[in-house]
Amino acid sequence: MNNPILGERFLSRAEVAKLSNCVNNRELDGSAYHIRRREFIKHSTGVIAGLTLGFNIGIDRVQAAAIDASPVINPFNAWLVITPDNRIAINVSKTEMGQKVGTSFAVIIAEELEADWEKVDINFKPEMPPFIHRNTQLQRLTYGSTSVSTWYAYCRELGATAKSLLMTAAANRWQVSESSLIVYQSHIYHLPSWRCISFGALVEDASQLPLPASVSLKKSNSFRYLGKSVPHKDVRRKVLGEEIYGIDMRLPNLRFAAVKQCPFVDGRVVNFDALLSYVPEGQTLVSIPNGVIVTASSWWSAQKTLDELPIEYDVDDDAASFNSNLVSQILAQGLNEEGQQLFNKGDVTAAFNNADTTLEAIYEVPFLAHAPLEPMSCTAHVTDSKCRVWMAQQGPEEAALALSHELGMAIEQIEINMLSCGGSFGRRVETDFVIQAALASKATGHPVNLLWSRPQDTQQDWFRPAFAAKMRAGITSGLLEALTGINCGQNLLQTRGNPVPFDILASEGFANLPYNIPNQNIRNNSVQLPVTIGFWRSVGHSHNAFFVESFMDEIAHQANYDPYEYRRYLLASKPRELAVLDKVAKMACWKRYHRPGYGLGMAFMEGFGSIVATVAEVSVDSESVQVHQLWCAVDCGQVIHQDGATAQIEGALIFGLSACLFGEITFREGQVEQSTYKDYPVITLKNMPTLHIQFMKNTHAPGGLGEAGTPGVAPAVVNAIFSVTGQRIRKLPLSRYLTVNKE
Amino acid sequence: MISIIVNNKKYEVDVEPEKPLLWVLREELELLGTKFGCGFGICGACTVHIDGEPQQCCVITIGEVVGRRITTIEGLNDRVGQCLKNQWVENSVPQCGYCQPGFIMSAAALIYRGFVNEESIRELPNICRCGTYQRVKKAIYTTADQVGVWEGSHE
Ligand code: FES
Ligand code: FES
Repeated sequence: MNNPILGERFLSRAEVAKLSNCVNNRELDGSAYHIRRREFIKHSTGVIAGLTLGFNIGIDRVQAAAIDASPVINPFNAWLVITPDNRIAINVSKTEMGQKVGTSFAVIIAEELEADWEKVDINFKPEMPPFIHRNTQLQRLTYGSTSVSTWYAYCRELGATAKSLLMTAAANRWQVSESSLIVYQSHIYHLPSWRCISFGALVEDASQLPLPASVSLKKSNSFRYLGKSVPHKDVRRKVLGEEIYGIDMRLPNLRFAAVKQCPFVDGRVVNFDALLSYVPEGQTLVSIPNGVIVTASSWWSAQKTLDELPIEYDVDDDAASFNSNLVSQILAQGLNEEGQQLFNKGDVTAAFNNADTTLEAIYEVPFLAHAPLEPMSCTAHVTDSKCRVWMAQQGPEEAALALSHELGMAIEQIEINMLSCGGSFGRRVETDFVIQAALASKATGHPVNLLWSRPQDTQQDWFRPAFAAKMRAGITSGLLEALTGINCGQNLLQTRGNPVPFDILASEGFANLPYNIPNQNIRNNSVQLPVTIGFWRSVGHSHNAFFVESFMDEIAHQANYDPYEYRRYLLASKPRELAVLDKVAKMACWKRYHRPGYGLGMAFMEGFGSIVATVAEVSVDSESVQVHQLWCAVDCGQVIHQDGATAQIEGALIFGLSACLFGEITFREGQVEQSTYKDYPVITLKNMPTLHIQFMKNTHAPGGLGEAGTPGVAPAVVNAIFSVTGQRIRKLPLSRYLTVNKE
Repeated sequence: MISIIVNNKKYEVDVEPEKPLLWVLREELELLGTKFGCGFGICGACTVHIDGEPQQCCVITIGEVVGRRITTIEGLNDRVGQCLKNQWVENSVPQCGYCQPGFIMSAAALIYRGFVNEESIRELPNICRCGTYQRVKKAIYTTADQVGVWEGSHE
């Protein structure tokens, strides 16, 4: 249709013919499945013009008893707004960090709504009042690759509900049956009478209608958007340099703040008062619990002042002598202790007694930094009555709670605004930098844009915990009859005062292996270390896949099997898993592969609702290693956005590879030794391998994708090195042993 | 007052001559497309052109660029810039997008040199923590081919 008409009109003969052809009526009969509506709410009075739909999923006012969850539309729960100008606003409640969560949600809603993608606008919820979900699954925190898997059904039903209302409105207007209507590209058609009307022209009528008792969802074979690649809405903005990140917030009278936190694992500033005299006119020194902040009219001036401050710290001897050798010792000792049982099956003792071969190996991985390209940054404006923040952070609810606590303000006085994140990878779950911005603003009375220097970002990270594992296998006639494993590290949830019965995160991908192994005993031993740890892309899987998949390779070689065939035997009863494994083997020509000086290695993992198999190709010569190619086959159920899904795996693979090759945070005399990308290197174009990524085609419920690609890289690479050299690397990163370069 | 020329526009700024250009762009001129990633000339997020040459402006002082022609992502609108930006969109290169303005500036400078091959692309120092390199390569290769400076292999 060449002329974009907003309201109602008659179609031309050509249009009717074209529509009859291009719209397959059958695919829209919606008989796929009827579902009862969830807690949808609709709004029709003045707050937001147009048809507004959202969820009423039992929100509480924080710290208040459950209020009457009356169906109130506020900017928070207005998810979908269709306006008379025929535009569709989809308001996304999650944080954008590069994972394109906005595109994903919008594509799902647009699919069921039969929206014209061109007319869809994606907004990240502005000016959110601090509400918290009773149902933690539906909270706003963006974490654990859960956004799409949690919200898929809700988003579909939301789109379908809006479509149903619009169809009813059209049917009423034309006095025809709903089943004679076609919905296509934000318009509703009645072909027998050659009529057409835009969504926009129907919103007023639709908003007066009661919500339908049930709605139908589309059949997957009639999807127009899901599994394909509609254009991302944010890409051009980002290319033009117009995206607003945490660092970019500007307000009148804005001051810039730099921060210096105690570099020791534990300690505090003792000479704050003496430091005041070093601060130039026009700048302010602010004391925070673990350091100081300088505010100035320029971030550079503030940082310069900080760099020259003779700060003294009170550090006890333990903290001052803490180092990485000690970490390795503590982890190694921990492996010899009993620990706590995570999983048991069969009788491992008997199975080991009967085994004709046993195999044991100890693995260790270091602390890792997230190192997003945008250092921690937040803007805050605190007055007597209000705290407003503009932040690139993953959990507005946690941030609101933390601010309310820290500032002694009621939750109603906190206003949170979300900005794009320049990468996160789990770092921006934390609220430390948000609190700092608020404290600096409170102390100075100005709005403050706080930014960490790169060394602060590296050294004051919440690190992926260092972990070790001891694995033991009992093999009988080539078959893996018994497996024991114990892993050891800090208990991440416990370090946050979360009284977990066992280290849940350390059990991910360790206690619940996909393989059929008749006798297993899997344990964990938590140790205490004075290091601040956090959630690092793929969390427990990030180390466990290295332990388990390296060891699988060792077992296969010991049993004289091809590691791919050996995994096939262990996954024999699982067709979905086998298909992924076979797929990657085929992509990499695993069986026919032969290249002198080169070798392949494989890894397999399940996590976040997805199944991932990875193959790495490396070459090794005179102590230098080069990763040439990575192949990755993924089953994440229904793919939402093909290009976005591929991008997530690309990124996750590179993230895993950076860690495998170089990633290591070490401590010396109580301080982190690394400070920038120079001594905490990441992959660049120079050592970038070629990536080959394929997805299984199916319509299972969508799994998470942001993290699942990361864990398999290190074991695949290490296994590939073994296939070339016969050398088994059990401690990461590789740069400890080998020159890692492409030249 | 120091006077500088950014994106063909003359500005007078009242700052210390040792203030890095990056912070003049971001704080004085509010040209926010140029990003801060490290402040040590490592990551390339702050790459701009100074007289057509790529420079990491977090380590260049305003005093050093007086009277020189500075181009930022906001001003990269010549044919090479247009082609690059289109290819970047075409290939959906950005994830978080934070590194991308700097990456595009580096790529543009590479193309200006009139000779691009696999090797010269691999030499670009920019860091993308989201790992978009495969698409970056493709976008540069395609642009170089379009403007007739691709000297590498045609696969
Ligand atoms: S910010 Fe200038 S190179 Fe990193
Ligand atoms: S796209 Fe995020 S750092 Fe490059």
